[in-house]
Amino acid sequence: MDTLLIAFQNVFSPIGLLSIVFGTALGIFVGAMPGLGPSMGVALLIPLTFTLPPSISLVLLISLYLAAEYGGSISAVLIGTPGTAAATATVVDGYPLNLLGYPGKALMTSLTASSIGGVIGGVALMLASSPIADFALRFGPVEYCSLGIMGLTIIASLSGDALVKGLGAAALGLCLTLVGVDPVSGMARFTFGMYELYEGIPFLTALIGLFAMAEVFIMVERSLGGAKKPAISGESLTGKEMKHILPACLRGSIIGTVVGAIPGAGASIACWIAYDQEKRFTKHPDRPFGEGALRGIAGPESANSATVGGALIPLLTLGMPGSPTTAVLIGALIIHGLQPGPKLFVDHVDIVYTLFVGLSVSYVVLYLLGRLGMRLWVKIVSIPQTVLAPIIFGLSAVGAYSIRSLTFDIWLALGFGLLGYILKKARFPLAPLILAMILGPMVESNYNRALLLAQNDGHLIFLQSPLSVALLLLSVVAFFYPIIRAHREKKKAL
Amino acid sequence: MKYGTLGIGVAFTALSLALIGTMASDPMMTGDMGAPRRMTYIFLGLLGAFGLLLMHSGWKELQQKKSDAQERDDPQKQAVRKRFWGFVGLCVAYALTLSTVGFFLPSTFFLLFFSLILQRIRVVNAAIISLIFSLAVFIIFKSLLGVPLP
Repeated sequence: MDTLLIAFQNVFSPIGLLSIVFGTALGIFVGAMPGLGPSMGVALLIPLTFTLPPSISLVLLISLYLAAEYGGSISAVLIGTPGTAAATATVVDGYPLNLLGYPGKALMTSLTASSIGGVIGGVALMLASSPIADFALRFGPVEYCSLGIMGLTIIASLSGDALVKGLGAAALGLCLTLVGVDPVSGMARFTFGMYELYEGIPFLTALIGLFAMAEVFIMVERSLGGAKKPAISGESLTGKEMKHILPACLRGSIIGTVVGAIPGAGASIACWIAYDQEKRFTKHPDRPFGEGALRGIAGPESANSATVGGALIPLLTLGMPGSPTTAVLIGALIIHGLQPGPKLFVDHVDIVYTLFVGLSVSYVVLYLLGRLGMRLWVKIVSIPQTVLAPIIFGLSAVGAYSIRSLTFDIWLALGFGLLGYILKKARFPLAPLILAMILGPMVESNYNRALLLAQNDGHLIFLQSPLSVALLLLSVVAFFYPIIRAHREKKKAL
Repeated sequence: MKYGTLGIGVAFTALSLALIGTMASDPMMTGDMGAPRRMTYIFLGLLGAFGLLLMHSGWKELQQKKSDAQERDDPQKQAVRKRFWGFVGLCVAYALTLSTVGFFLPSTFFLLFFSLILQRIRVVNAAIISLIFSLAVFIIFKSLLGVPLP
């Protein structure tokens, strides 16, 4: 009870509330701007949080994450370009509804669905995280190693059509984690005499390069023409329409929470599953799907917002990121001296509760800001990317430097920016690379510790724990299922 | 990117071979290949293996693609390419000056150049954007939050 009181005090302090409002406003901004996104927004904001208390920093970053998932729908509805990957399904019905003269209706559907999705995802996080963390406290090195392997295989298998590219990116991520002093032997690995690399490649610097700088290069190449100038008009949602979209919001929220909790899946997959489900479930849509159906907006929007709560479950309880943005959040936790995982619920329970309370308040702020500032958010979409690109580059340089106060890190971020640009151009998914950079050390250190514990049993120790066996079996299924499915589809097509 | 996947496959394979090569010359790495070293070999082996697979799929992609000679001649694409490399060059110069001169002076000047390169913007507007950016960084990062700057 005392902890909950502390959490409320933290969130309702002037700095706490200001952080939520600032994070939400910034989140809507980065979400609405095509090309930016929650991962880049969180990565760029982390240096700003250095001097804030850890609990407030996390609330600020999570408010941004949540709001960015909604922000993506603004440009999807108004200019037919999704602001984030999670808003791709929203374009299908949101943009036609705008063209029919109802942009206000489309945006209100999106805002309402996002708020409902966020609340349901948040409730799931609060209910599920404590029991999972309690259960995870029983995990030893063997289970953690198997869990890491399962995370890696699931991530790679979710790379869609680009399975080999996803696995290749994950392999590169694993090799990047080898740089630095070997935790067991104490030998420097692949540092090439550079003392700046002795602690390994700084994760946040890599993220700033891969998400922010790479995106700047893409922006520079992509945008020749001026930005479209959207306008807002038309009526809002009626009571009858609210009633009509409610089941879609509930279905989407459940899908979003479950998909969000699967490592590597994330909002971009959840929104399409939810859209597909709406098409199946809705017998009498207000308009045909693809021509402005309200449920076609509500389902995907509630799903992408619910993934925030879902993705935070494995992050907080197991230290496993559920999405690229939660991978960035892991970096933020570590910077503030917090180790994500079940121990967080024992050692820093006040921070966990502050996060829960902060998340609940963020939904309210998102709804209010989203509604009150709708005309302002519309203007954001018309800011040319060519103005934003140099500003983001400057902020990335500040961010990369401020982590260790080394100019070397600016070069490192620039190198990662070019690497990210090349990989994106060759259509490699970046999520497996990032997630492998997190899971690599987890797998390696726990593998070594497990073998030390095993003594004469050697690798048999991985088969002596039922949980480890289950996780390894799941890894095998997760790895081979997409290959078999792709093979079957190929056969069918022939 | 015509040679993207193939090139990345070659790079991954070459990188894994080069890194395994550097380990082979290390006296601690030769002899017993205990658990700590085993993971290093596994990760590098995975990189090499996927490098080979990527080379294979890159080669297949290449055979399916038609020649993009026409695309290369497109004047709009050429303009984009020039602008892109100009931007990358400025980024490198910016990072160099950040290490020597500090943050504010290079940021103000480079932001101005970036804005001018990227679109037809009036010099006065570009200068105002640069000044506002530097001022915002100074007030928020330096004064309010005490974040270290180059």
